[in-house]
Amino acid sequence: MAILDIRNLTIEINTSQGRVKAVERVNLTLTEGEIQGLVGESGSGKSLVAKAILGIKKDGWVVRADRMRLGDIDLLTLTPSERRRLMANDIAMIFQEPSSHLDPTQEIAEQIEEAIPSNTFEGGFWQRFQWRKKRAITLLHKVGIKDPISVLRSYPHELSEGVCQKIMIAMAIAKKPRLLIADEPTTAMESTTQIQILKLLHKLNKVNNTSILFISHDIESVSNLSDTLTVMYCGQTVESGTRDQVINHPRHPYTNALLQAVPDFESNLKHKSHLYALPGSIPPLQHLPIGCRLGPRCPNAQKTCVQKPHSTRLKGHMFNCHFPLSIEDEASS
Amino acid sequence: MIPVLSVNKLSKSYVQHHGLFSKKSITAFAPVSFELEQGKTLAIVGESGSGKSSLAKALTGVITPSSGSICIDGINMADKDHKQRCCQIRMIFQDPTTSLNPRSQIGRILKSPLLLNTELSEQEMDIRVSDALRQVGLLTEHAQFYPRMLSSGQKQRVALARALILKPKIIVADEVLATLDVSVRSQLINLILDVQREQNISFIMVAYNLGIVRHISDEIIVMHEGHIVESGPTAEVLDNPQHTITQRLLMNQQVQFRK
Repeated sequence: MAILDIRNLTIEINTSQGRVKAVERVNLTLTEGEIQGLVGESGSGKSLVAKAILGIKKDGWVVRADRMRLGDIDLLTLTPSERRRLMANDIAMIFQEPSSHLDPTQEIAEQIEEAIPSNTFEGGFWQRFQWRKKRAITLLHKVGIKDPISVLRSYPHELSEGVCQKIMIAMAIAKKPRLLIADEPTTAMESTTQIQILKLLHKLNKVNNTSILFISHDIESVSNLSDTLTVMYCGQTVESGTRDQVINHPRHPYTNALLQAVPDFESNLKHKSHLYALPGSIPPLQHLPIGCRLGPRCPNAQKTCVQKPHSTRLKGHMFNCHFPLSIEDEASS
Repeated sequence: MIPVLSVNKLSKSYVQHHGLFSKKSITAFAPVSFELEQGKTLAIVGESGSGKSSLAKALTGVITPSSGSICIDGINMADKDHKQRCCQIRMIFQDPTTSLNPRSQIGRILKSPLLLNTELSEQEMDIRVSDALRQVGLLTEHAQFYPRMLSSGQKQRVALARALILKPKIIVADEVLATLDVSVRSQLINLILDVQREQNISFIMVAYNLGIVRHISDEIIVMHEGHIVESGPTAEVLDNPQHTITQRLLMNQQVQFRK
């Protein structure tokens, strides 16, 4: 069953140049207990999608969608207070740069205890004494912190980035959410810590059956972890499908470019030869091209690309391109 | 063949004072020695806190080393003034948004190393600036732009142009690829490879992605807690890692969650 179902999500932002469609008709489906990777470079609107799911809105944003459901609840018809309650109970989010999202003036103990909701208490009244503290220690154990007592007594600046991120995850899972949104949780971390966090998320998914929407700019780390992948470019979905479909049989030139851009150990690329790169840079929000937004950078672009491509669906593999890759190869073989 | 850069027992340690009399010495990196040939790339890898950034900074003279010597073309750099050193060895910093002065135009940013280190006339400087911009794939008109008007990839290109403008022998790049988007990153890698091929510049890259390191570097140094634990030709070291630290770094790159 789909825990998150979004159809045609459009986010418009008022800028000085007029209203801009920062996210255009994005579809996202997340089934219960899966990890979905949302990949996109900076400016692709992936964080905006996360904010739209949470209902965080700034003035001047217009969020529209044909359908937006969390489980069997329609998010579009809820009143703001109902929505806030739903968000508090069912969705948790972890952010990029964890040390800046923790309160620097409070000890970790206070911050975690604050994040533990009272309705998660189980047991008789005699067990009430210091139950939050005990719960905080178990939570820290769960996320793999070896010395929870001393961590609880420290301030965020005394801890490393990896430990701070683990604390953020502990706070996120305190209320046992059904959906965890991880917005670039491992950016700007070194590889050892990165792997620890990824392993932790993987374990949470396996043990608690938490669905995870994993947002990242690095297709390499995402593809390792996730079951399904959605690739975004400049606010449009370019491709989505299972991990195998997207990684091994990319149909969209952009996905292909992302995959080719990372030299790995298996590839038999000549030493110091040129890497595959798309020309140009990511257009700013005020100068988005019409039609397929990859158009000006795409190696296969033709005249028809000024129209927005229809999405093609093949065995659950969805891609938006007028000239998808390797269709002919497979038909002939 | 004489190596363009030879580093001999270079080390850096800080002294921290506790109270009136006691003091503690903290080693950023222990005595390290290595050599680099012209037109080759040396990669420095390691976990955070292993002293790789300090080593890069000590090479360019951002921090003064405690002991040891740095020789470029057989000339000891410690004896020379900063001007000479600047022309030989240049540095590109990690974050392009903070390494460019937001209040001056790109042209002025590129001109300042020329003003400080050379005796060129105004016209010659303008020619150098537009040459450097063209070399990194930007337009001459970009000289009038301010850093905020450029994307982060373009800013990193400007930073590379600033390093190239004095025609150095060695460029030290401290994690320049880490903050860039994937598609822009490979453009910059291609650019660095092109520049190296055309001008025979040696690069010292501090990097974390071993896939990229393997692709672009000839020699590699693996650092851990200030010591070099393994060094040698990149392909040999990465194919057949001997030290546990190297093995751990490699393992972290290729974790498979699903089999």
